[in-house]
Amino acid sequence: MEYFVRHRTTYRYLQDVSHSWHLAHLRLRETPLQAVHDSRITLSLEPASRADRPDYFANPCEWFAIDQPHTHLEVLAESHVTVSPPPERASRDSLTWEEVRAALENPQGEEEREAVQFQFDSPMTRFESDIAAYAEGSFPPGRPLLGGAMELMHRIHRDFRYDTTVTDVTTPVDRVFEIRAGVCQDLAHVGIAAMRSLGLPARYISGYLLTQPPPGKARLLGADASHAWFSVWAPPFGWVDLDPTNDLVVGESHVTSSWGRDYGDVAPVAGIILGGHDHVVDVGVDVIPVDDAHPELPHIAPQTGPR
Amino acid sequence: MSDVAEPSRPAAAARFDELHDLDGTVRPHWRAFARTLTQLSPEEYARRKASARATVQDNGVTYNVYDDKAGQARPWQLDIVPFILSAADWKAIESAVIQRAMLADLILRDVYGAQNLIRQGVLPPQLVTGHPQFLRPLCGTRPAGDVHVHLYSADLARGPDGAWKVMASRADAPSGLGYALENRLVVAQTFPESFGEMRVARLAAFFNAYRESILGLGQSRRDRAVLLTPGPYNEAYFEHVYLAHYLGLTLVQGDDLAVRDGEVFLKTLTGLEKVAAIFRRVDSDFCDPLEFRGDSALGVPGLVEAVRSGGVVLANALGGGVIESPAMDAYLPAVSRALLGEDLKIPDIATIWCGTEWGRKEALARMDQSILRNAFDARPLFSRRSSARLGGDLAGAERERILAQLRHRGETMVLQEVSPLGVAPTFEDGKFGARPVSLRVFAAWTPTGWMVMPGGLTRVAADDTVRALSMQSGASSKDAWVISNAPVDTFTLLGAGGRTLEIKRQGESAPSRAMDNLFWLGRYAERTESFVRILRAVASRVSDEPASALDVARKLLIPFSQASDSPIEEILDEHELLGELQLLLYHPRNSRGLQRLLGRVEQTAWSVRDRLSLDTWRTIHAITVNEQLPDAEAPFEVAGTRFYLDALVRRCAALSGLSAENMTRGPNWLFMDMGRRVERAHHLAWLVRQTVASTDARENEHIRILLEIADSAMTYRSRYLNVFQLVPFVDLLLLDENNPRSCAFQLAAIESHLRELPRITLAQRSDVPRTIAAEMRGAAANAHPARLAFCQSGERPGLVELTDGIVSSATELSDAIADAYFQHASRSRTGSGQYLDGV
Repeated sequence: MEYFVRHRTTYRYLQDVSHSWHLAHLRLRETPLQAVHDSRITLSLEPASRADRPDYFANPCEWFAIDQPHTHLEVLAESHVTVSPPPERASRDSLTWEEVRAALENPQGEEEREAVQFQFDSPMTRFESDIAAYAEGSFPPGRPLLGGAMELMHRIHRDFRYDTTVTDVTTPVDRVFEIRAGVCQDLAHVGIAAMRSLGLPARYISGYLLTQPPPGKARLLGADASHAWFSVWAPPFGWVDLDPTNDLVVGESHVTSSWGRDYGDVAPVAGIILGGHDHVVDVGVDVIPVDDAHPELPHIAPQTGPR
Repeated sequence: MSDVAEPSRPAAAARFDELHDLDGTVRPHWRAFARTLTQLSPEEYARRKASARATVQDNGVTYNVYDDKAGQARPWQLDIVPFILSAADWKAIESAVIQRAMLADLILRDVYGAQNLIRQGVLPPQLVTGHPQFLRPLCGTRPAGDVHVHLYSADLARGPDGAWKVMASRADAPSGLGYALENRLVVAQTFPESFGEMRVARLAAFFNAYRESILGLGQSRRDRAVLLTPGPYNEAYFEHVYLAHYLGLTLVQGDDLAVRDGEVFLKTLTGLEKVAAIFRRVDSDFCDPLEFRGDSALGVPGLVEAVRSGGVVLANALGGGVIESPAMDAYLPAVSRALLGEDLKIPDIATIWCGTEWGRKEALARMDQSILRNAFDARPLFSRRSSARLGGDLAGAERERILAQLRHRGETMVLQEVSPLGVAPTFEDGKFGARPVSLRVFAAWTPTGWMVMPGGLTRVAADDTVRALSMQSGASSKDAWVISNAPVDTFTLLGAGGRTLEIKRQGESAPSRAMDNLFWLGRYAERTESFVRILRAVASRVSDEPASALDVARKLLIPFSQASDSPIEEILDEHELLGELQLLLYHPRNSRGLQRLLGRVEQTAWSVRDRLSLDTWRTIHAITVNEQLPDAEAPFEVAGTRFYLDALVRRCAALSGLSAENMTRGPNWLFMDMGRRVERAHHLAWLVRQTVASTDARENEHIRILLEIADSAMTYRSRYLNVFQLVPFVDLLLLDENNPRSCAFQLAAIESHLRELPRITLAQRSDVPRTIAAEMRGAAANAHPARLAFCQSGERPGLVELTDGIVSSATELSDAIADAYFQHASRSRTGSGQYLDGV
């Protein structure tokens, strides 16, 4: 599937912001299943400095600072990608979860060494509650890892209520686990914490969903905004993405932006502002398929603004 | 040495004894000092101990304990008996600590660079990428000169066999250097004879090498070098103040710095000044709220970007926490062989990482005699929030939980051996005692190799258990004396260092935040004096003129309390007044009370400790220190209270005298004095407004009391004898520019200070403060005393207008000064909005 993605973030401040610094994970990364044809960021103000370099996880990442007093800032990201369907993966063919653990104890290849870091708690998935007991329900001895992880995803989907009113971007995973409710980000964090509670690697994926469903299909939750899910390491298939919000193995309808240990590593736009007093953020996301129904590629705004 | 008393020491070889060998003979390097101690008369020893203790207290040497209920800072604990090391012992320690400092630096260079140690299988990747202090944004960034560690510390202790072991290492922001230096200054003064005769190695050359090496890495030595502290609430803030002063650095907090275009600047009164080097005492992950912990208010947004572009030297470089983990100890021998081709000269305490099958098996077998802790928990063993547990203590649910963690997530745990620490002598009541100790040794990077400070910070356990060595849990400290075989180097950092100094009439330009704090120090100090004087006026009348006391309390104390969170509602009778006075004077926390105000003075002074002379600091300390105050519930006691309030008035006067006579007329003085003047103008106008704005049968009495509160009674009598009338009174207190206790005097001083400021700040700032000040002064100058006293149906409209005007303008003026000079922009985080669906 070919997509056009537009992600517009608008900040409005009550008073002048004299200086601001931002870190944006808004451009899309290449993956084995995703080809990025174009991905760019346009700012409504000329930044005083700007650096564009991949982060530790090889996600495209943009650092910029604004020195002029302002009450309004718009960050526009526009991308054009093609997502391929994942290969068939029979969950029974993956290694058992104990074998995965043992393999990571003495990691041999680059991929295994990379996977190790995703076994550990990260700032937003650190937990005190007994998430391990919850996770163990899906991982009896000898179970193939992918089978266990898929069941875990089903259970999170079943046990946790999708609710946009009970959490915010800083809600700790323990709280989500306690109230059994949250948004896609929270459910992804629960999945990650559960896997890690058994010493299994899991990472956080930030991305998008198709905004308008194909005719006759239901609209998926999490469209119209950034979406998030988690990914498990299931050799021999490598990383497999699971979306607990929609209870499905991620396929062609998901566009990947970035991945990291948790939301904190890949927040779409993080910022520190001086002044401003109070602020509101508006986020608008469009994901439009480029297919028979839309033969024309939507017009990408010419780069009038500074880059 | 039979005259050395028999120590009460544990059974032979259970612990290593620094003082005695196995036969009970005093070891050779201790003999001279042991003799000195036993030859001092008990009185002389007690005198020296008391004087050392007084020096520590007077200098304000403290160690803040965050959750200490008694207050935020408590005196540093120092045992005057030094820890003495022989030249041979020291040689072994020195070369071992250099080896480890080199290793720390090389490991950091590798893990933030090529990661060959991981690739070659020397270091499990878990220990690096699983470490919460592995700061990913730094990967691929090379610090200035490729130096990661500029200051390294190792905590050493002896096992029962006398062999040294390393208990912990620090390479991120090692602390203790300043305390070690202060300990040295105090103890060397306490035993001047021994210190000279015994050829104790000196420390100054080390500090000089440390400073010069870091400055040498910067782009220009003309630019500013700063010491970055987390601020007055940090447990080691005293040390930051002390080191900044000793090393000649500007003490700054994160808010004082700004990153522009890949370079770091200090926000000063005269604008932005480039910073070449930052001596960092803020933990790495708090240093840049954008790229590391977003919840940190201590850092500087953009600092990591400045490091990337090579615009600033950070010492230590960011990210050093990775090598501090106990798990790293398990692999250090292998890393040492791989990187240096050498075995470790001093090993760590035996450590097993539970991330392997073998490690978990060993851990299960040994846990009852060992400590289990988080693999990355570098906190001192058993300090607050330490994860360490004695395996043998584990039972029930906690044991189950830990065993499950070991099973599922062994890679997050280590097992460490506990052995009794060696003991060093204490000396009490003419007898030697013995307490477990550890020694923190520091190494500094220099371009020509590592240099170890000959000495260190010795920590003395509060009791005999292994739990007791953390400073936070009440341990004490000692100076460490290294006996040198060669003549000692008497280099001093305080000398001119051979350079010819240029004449300067001003210090370096001051950070704006410090000026803000000095302005408020002036205000709070003046507010304290005013409040104390009102309290004294009331307290001195409660027994002889109770009706008058009650009247003043209602007129002044009740309205004064309205600005607090717990205003006084009513004082019904004299009995209630006594209770209220007791509360106002002695309640430790009540927000309308004196003690809370004193707390603010202390806190504000503490945050600008580096800008106050020792005498000034001691005077403030004398005002704010909590002596043995009576209980807030106890009955009111007139004589004691009079004594307390008189002493406070005298100490407040000493403080204003010191600042008037001893502070250079630079920005520090100007802002502090301006704070004082603004507060006093406000207060005087308020006093007059409260008491004589309307006619009252007790008017003469009010005038007398107000003259007393405003310390103008003598002046009044010298002019008008004992005739009390409103017109001359109003003139003296409000309008007479010659009376330093009049409103007009304050307004004139404020105007003149504001005229001075552009000369200091070199920049044109907002005119608003000057406009307000000129209007205030004009209003007072144009006022006529008789018109102010004019009375219309019991009210004095002219007086009300003038005093109300001054009170509200003073508040406006204070805000305008802050806006113009202190740049109060608050910092906040912005997210990109929640991930959610609009359904």
